[in-house]
Amino acid sequence: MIAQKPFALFQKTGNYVMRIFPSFFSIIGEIGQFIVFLYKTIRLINPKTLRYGLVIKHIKLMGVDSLFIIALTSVFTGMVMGLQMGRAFKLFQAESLTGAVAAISISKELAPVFASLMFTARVGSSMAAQLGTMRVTQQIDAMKAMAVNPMHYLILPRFLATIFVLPLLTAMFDYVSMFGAYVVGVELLNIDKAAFVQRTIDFMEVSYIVEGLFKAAFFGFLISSISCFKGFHTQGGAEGVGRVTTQAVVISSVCVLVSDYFLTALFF
Amino acid sequence: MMIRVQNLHKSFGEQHVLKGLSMEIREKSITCIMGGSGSGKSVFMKCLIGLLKPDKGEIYIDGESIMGKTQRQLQGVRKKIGMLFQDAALFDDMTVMENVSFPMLEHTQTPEDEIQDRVITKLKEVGLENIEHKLPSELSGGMRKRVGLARALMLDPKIVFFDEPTTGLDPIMTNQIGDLILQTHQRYDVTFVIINHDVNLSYKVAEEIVMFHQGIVADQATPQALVHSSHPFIQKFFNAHVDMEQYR
Repeated sequence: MIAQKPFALFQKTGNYVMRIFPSFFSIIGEIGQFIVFLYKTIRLINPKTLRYGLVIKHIKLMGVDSLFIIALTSVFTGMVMGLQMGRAFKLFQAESLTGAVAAISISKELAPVFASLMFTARVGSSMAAQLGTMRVTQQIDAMKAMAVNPMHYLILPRFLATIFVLPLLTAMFDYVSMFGAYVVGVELLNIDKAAFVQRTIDFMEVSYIVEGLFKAAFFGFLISSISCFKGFHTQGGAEGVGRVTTQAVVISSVCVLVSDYFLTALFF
Repeated sequence: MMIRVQNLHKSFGEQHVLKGLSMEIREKSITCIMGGSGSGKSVFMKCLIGLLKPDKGEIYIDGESIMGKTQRQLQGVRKKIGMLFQDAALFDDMTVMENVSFPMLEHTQTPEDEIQDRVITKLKEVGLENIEHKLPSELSGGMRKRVGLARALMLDPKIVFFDEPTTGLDPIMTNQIGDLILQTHQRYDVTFVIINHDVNLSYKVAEEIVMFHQGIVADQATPQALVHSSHPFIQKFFNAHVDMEQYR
């Protein structure tokens, strides 16, 4: 990899330190490499040079690819919420609150987190594997040799598409899972339809949905940057592609869960 | 001189791959770079196109130094270079038409129908017809290399690099690729630099052979002169190739 001038000193220092403490600093080295990767990607955002066609292509691919799996996850999440809340509230003769509590927990937490985890499994892994394969089969080198910046062509469109598409999938998760909670609550547990809907309207706020969508956009940022970083820096042939794909999914999932706590604690 | 390299050094950690390599490649010539595995041929080629940054030394491409250039500045130099990678490195998710038209779409404002006509012409020149809508996975090894060559020629480069163009091909296909290299060179009259292990191919196409050994140039001469080289590695390298005549 060619050292860019502003990073040459950091790279040299990093290499020197890593020679002294190889295992401990390899993690710190990778985090540093990730930050540089992120900086280089964000620096490329320019409305005049952005490849809008590629961004739209990735939005379509990611959205369509994930639609079914997220719809399936969301309907069952909603149904489980309806069932558990309905049963619990029945103990206090407060079944009508089922819809409200389900709606709040889904929109604030479950929708962004579950949608992001499913998205990581479906799209994050595919991004890492695709970029990893391109790296080990020299397709990324070929792109560079043709004077095309692979960060601009391959990474940036995926990065922006993920940030855009994940909140949309989360919004779909909100509606489909509420439908699931409604079906179980009203049709299965015989909660009064009017009370279920009215209580939900009383307690729900638009800000809860916005909060969930904001979280989803942030998770999208995490998933795309981690998956692209891992795929882009693949080494070691087919085995390497398998390894980075697993790493991309595991690290993205952990980061989603950990950052969810801190986002909630600090901002919401 | 189209390519001039002086005292080139490149290390990976403790491994010193290029150890002060110097050489020159004439304009419009066909030069083969040969050497044992790990002699630094591929590293050298990656340094020439800016995929790796040398630790020390000078590289001049078409009279222009590429050392110390940023990635953006290197893009101008790269447009003068076409590159055929070992396994062609075609983009898996693009058809042959999309692959070959890629450099033109990226770097020119040429209308799409003109680009398509040019792609068809280039494919014909490398001996391929009616495969524009196929994906790389549907092509044989030889066809992939031909498509890769068509892509490398799209911007009419001044230099074309070939990274082991016959690796993984049968002897008949290897011979055909040799013919194709000669025909293409005759048609375009540009500088060809071929990195390979194949002695037969080198003797068929090369005007000059550069032998790498342990990170430096062991010898640079015409194929006829190189056979008589006194360098022990070069003697060993050529003697290792089986003389079929003794089995006839």
